[in-house]
Amino acid sequence: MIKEPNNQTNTPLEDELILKLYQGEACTTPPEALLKTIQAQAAHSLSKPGLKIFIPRAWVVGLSFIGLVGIALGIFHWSKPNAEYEIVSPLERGRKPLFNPFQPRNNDDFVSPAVSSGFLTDEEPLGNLSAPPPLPPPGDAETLFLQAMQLQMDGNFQLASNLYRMAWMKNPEGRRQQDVLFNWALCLKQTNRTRQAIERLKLLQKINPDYPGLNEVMGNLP
Amino acid sequence: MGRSNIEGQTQLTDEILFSRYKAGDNASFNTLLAKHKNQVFTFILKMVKSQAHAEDIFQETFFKVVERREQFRSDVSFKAWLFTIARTTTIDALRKKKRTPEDLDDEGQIEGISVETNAHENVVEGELGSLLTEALKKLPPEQRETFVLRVKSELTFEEIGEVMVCSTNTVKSRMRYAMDTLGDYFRKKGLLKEIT
Repeated sequence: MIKEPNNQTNTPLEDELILKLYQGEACTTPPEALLKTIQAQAAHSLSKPGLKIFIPRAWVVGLSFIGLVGIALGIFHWSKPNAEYEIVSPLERGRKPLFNPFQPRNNDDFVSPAVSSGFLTDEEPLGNLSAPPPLPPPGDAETLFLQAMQLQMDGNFQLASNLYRMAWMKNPEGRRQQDVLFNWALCLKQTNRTRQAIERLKLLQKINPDYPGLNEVMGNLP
Repeated sequence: MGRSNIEGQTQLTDEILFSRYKAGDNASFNTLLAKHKNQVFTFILKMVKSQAHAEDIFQETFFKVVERREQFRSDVSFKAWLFTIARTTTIDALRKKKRTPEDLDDEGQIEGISVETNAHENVVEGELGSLLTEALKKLPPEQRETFVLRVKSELTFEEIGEVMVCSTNTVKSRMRYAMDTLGDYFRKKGLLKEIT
């Protein structure tokens, strides 16, 4: 054992004497009032079940981190009105709501979900309308057409117009194709999108110039 | 709880008593407190040398024992756990005061303390008592802690190692140094020669 300088090693007898000296020293007792306070605290603490709940610190840190990431993503997501359409996969597009609740109701500013989701653009030439969309929404053309008709009769031209667009993307055949185009144009006209309405009517005119009511509607357009 | 029941409880190990307290038996805590109060208080007093300060630390120590009871693992020594809390609470209290134990030594006037003698009776009184206190002041803090924990608190070397977060060999080494330093001091005072 390494010795500290200037210290002489004790003999076993000296060690024994030193220990006896200190062991003979009186022990100190804390005041009785202090002990009573501690006992009362111990008894009181037993009645508090909350103390038994122990959450590991790692859990707290982990959950806090996940929460912060969630909040950050939420802020990022909701700060962009059309974000939900931009980040969904093509397979999920058909299940998205027709209307973005954060979208202004102003017709001039309105962009339909089909447009915002990348199926079509308002400026897209009509010649491309015949091209099948990459992944159309669920429901066949007939169902969509009937739903659109109902909305049109209820006066909800904006929504009806969107459904006609979706029905069109399902490639309806024969007379139904013409019905879709005609009614779609009517709805577009009702929502002051005259230029687009005329384009649809012109297409219908090429397909079937004798479509009932087509000439009357064309005549009423500028 | 009757006296016989308390006497019966003292036969149980500290770990079992503390487990019983955790399960809702308050009497077990009182038994543990009665068993260790003097050793813990003496240890704290030797570290801070101020009665009022020692009382505060003593109370805080046992409050922590109560609050942290769910953290106690029954596979470790209760006594080591108790003295670990006492030691860290003492160190924290000293840091709060921004003083070292050495500084506090000069403050120490132990007055009006009720004392309880052990088996060796009152062999240490008056002048000799002051001499023993003075001798302890000569020790470096870690040697003094080791010596008090071993001799006054009667912890094993292993338990002291747990309390002071060091190896058993280190504890033994510190104890040896402390004994030799005390021996030198007493030799200079002629005390060991007188007794021998």
